[in-house]
Amino acid sequence: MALPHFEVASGTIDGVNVIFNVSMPYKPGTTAVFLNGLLLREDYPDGWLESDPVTGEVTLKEPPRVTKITPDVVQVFFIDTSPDVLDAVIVERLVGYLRGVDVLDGRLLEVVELRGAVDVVDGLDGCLLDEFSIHGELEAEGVLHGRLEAVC
Amino acid sequence: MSQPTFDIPTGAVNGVNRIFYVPVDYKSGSVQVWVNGLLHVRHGQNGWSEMGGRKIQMHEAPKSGDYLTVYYIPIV
Repeated sequence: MALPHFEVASGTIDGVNVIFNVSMPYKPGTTAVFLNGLLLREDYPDGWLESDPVTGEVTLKEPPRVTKITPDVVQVFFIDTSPDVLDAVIVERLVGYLRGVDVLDGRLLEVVELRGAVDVVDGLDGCLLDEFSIHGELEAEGVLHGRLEAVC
Repeated sequence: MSQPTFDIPTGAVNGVNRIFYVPVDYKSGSVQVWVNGLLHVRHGQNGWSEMGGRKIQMHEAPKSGDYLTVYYIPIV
């Protein structure tokens, strides 16, 4: 599951360098850059570019400076690129068999009732085998948490 | 589970308007607002109220030239 991170970016603070990196790849469009705690705006002249999400690189439009007291600090918020396996998924049409359902994260369409052995379910074409009940819970109008072990 | 995000809210920044919108509905309690890069205190005089849906109401109208950034968790 993709996670948010907040890191001090690595890179030389010398009034010249504008290239900074976080420790892992980030999902494009998720970065937010703070300079000395101040949130910058990406599209402003002192903003940043997501120059290489794969290597975790961002490019500031203006180089952070070194003052007489202390160097600037660049912090970056981002979301990593881990697979969103636990994210809610809208299952438009699922064809196959559900065996040993524990956790199924998705949305069932037009399910009126699931009780006992079910051969055909609207929006879920297939068979539920050896299932006299479905262990899970429905939340927010039809989201069923479970694990889909096999689709055939 | 939806991911937190930063967005520039829509709404006039003119010293009068206090209503702003993010692109999608947010999870209650997840909103944070920065004005000119500074994180404001939600319940403070210059804070904000979550009005539900996509709507946020600032307690004080941002002045012309201010820029707002909103952090929130979208509702999928």
